[in-house]
Amino acid sequence: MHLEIQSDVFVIIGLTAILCFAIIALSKKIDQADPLAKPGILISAILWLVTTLDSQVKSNVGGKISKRLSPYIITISIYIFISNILGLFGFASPTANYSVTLMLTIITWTMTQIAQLKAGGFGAYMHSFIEPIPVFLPMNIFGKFSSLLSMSLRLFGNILCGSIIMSLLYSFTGWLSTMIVSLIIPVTSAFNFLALVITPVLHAYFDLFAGFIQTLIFITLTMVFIGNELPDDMKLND
Amino acid sequence: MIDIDIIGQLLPNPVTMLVQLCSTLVLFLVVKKFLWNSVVNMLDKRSEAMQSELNEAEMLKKQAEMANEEAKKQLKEASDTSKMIVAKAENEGKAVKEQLLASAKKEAEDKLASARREIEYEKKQMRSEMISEMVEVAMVATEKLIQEKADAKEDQAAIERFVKEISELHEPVN
Repeated sequence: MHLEIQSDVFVIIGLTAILCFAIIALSKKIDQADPLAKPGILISAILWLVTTLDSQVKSNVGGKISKRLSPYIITISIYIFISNILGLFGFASPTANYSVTLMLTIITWTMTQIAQLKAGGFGAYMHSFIEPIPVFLPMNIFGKFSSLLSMSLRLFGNILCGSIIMSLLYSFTGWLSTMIVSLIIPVTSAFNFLALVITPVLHAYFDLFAGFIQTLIFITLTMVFIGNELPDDMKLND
Repeated sequence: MIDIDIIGQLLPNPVTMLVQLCSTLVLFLVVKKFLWNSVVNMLDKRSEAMQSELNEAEMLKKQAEMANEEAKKQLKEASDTSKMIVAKAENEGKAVKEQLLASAKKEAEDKLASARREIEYEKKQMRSEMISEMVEVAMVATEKLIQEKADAKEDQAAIERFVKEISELHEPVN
């Protein structure tokens, strides 16, 4: 266990603070907006995001629970997406730290267990460990925790790989730029001009695309895992 | 070149995890209290406004339909009234025509009757004139006979003949 304070901690605190201020400011703007007038692009985007996520949550867990779950899904989707694309702004992505993704997954996993407990009761929850026969107990225990591992490692691995590949690419283009320049003028290090040409496309892929996809996967799995534990009649309630 | 601390990032760090938990909680509370409530309020207001506009539109549509019905009814009434007026005028015209015909016929009949009466009167007049003339002639003849002093037999014969002549003259008149 490393007990030292990592640099990611400051990024997490800073990001949370900025997001809090931005969300409060946006909410004030939405409150002041005329509900009958055509909303601006920013407000439209926020409305679209919130209603889309809310309808997704509703279709997975039903209207009753979505009132409590939707704000959480909105929170983590904003947080994870911004964290994933933070590499674009020159910061280390907090989601490239396993502690962060593990903590986010623990929250989802805990909610799943609570949903299962609430839906079937403690007896049914305990009984699910020895289904269909008691021999399956070790497998069921592994099964309970496998989603925790797979979800956290998926997000962590994708974002960390993206940043590693981008670092490698910057090193490579830096070396290649120096080689090309030293053919003309003998220098020990040159401006990494190749990075300007090659890296934007890969940033778009590794940061924006992968960041968006991983966010989508994370929130979808959160909704599906919780929804799976709920009985169908609970989901039908609006 | 690559300054990524893989081990530090891979092994769970309690401090980072705690900070992450707190940040997520704070962010969740902020989103729930501000963003979620604002958006839900705005959507509610919008749907309310839309509903009221829809209701208004529905009401206006109903009013328009009612006005249309009213207009149709009025049009029908107007057309009925005009038909009635035309029929009335036709009837009146017929009546006037009949009246005129009847009065013309009566006048003609009156004129005919008065003409007949006149003719009758003229006839009578003429007959009486004729009779008085005959009487006069008879008187003249009588005077003549008296003057001539003929015998009785001849007188008798002459008078008879005369009367016969008169009757013969008189016959065709009847």
